[in-house]
Amino acid sequence: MVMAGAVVALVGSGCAAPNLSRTVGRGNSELHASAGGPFAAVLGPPLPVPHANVGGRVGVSNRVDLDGNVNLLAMAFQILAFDVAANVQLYRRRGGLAVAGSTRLYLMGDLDEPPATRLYPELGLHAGGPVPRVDWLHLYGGQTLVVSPNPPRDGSAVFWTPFFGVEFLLPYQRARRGRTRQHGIAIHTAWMNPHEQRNTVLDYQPSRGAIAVHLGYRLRFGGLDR
Amino acid sequence: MTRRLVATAAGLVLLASGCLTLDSFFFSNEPVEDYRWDDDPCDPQLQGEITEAENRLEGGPAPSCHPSRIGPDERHEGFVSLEDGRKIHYVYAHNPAATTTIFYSHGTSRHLGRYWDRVELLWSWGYNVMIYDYPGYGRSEGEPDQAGVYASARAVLERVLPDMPGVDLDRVFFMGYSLGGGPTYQLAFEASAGTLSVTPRGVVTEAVFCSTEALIQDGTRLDLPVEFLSDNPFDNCDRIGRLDRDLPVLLVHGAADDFIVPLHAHMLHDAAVGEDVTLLLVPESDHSEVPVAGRELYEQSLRDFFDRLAPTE
Repeated sequence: MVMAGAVVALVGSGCAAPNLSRTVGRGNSELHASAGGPFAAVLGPPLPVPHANVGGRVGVSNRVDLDGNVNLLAMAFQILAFDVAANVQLYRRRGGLAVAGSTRLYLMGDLDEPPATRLYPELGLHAGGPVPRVDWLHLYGGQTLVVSPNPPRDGSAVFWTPFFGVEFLLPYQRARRGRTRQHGIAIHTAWMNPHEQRNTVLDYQPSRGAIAVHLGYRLRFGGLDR
Repeated sequence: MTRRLVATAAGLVLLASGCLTLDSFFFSNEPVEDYRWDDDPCDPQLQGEITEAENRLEGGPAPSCHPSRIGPDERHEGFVSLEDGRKIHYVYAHNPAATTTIFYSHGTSRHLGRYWDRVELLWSWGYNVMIYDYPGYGRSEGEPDQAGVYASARAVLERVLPDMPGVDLDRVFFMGYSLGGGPTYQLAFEASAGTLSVTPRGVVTEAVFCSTEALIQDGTRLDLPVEFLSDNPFDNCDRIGRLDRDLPVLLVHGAADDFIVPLHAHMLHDAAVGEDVTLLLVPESDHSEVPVAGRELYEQSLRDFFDRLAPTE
């Protein structure tokens, strides 16, 4: 049962691509994948739950992305868990700070007994930019707020998750044909519900909310992240 | 490159789909060939939770297990077959001085050897105790599931217990610990509905969850339906709400239980409809520590409950 809880602790643990502070730009796209999740003492010592997410986003305009992700670990447990989002660039300075807002919808469904489903909306704010004079190293942070419309007894109606990450951008590749590509590797940390002090079947670490760690990768086609 | 990435992702999805189930985490059963009850110093299979809690809370030097304090003349072991042919192992601890019998359903860990020191404790207070293993646990055959848990409890209660020495079927209590709350409330519900041949004098449950769904929701903090994650939808809150109003119930829970949080005891208490339902929260006690951390309170409360409802003539 502990693992059961851990498997579905994906909402609020950062299912989406880590660094969303910059939209990809009209006509550009990105594939991303991440692994990791909240620390839980499932098999003894506290380790990140091995969530694996894959997804992508496309730029419908220079200021708006559409984003989607699928959680593979949940799918392995016959739970369809995916999210769709729209990201809007609120502020952007070339080579400097960028800020984006996101509205996301998590959907979870039972593949064994459809059509049982649950929807959880999320609002997010993302800020980030390169370290001065080190343009291949980006820092980013922000917070998300997932709403649980019908929380269980004594449960919180919101998952408030501040996050912080470091992203290493690999040298971009100029394509002879097609679009220029850019790879990014991120270490993403999040703190789910830090205000909450409560032990549960899912043994969150520490007892004040849950710390989550993800390793993220993304491949961008066109629209270099700089 | 793009095509390779997409193909890899699709492959991962296909590879992962359908190869895992969550219920394998629900039951922590362990098969055993035999229990060596009287081995000295001890059979590790008889390493009990109470002894471990004593070591943890009182700093030892108690051994991690001990030979059975209930001798071979008082132990009655055997098997009963379910309709599907699975054999269920039971052990009856006969106390020659006892007039009251406790039908005990154990927790999810390993097998009944893990709970033998709980049997010894009840037995030492002057009661007969019947304990049994669910399918896939200890010497019982098969794989565990909710239906098998219920069926094994029913089979031992109706087909074995009446033939045990010293059993007065009018003086039987149902008692369940943790997972054992499931069969305990199910049997009590069936007795209340008149479909069981044994009617208990009362029901005691310790560290029991409200329902599988409540467990999932408590762990995830989300309103996920039970069918998302489990094919074993134990619903003790539903059962306790459908018991005979005259059937007394004692709910015991560790106030510091961080495995099944005390919220579940409150939910059970709120769902109960009986006129004699008592909630006992034992201070500073974790999931498995109630008999040790609340030693005097635990013993006094349980003995008062049993002796009040089945007084010795």
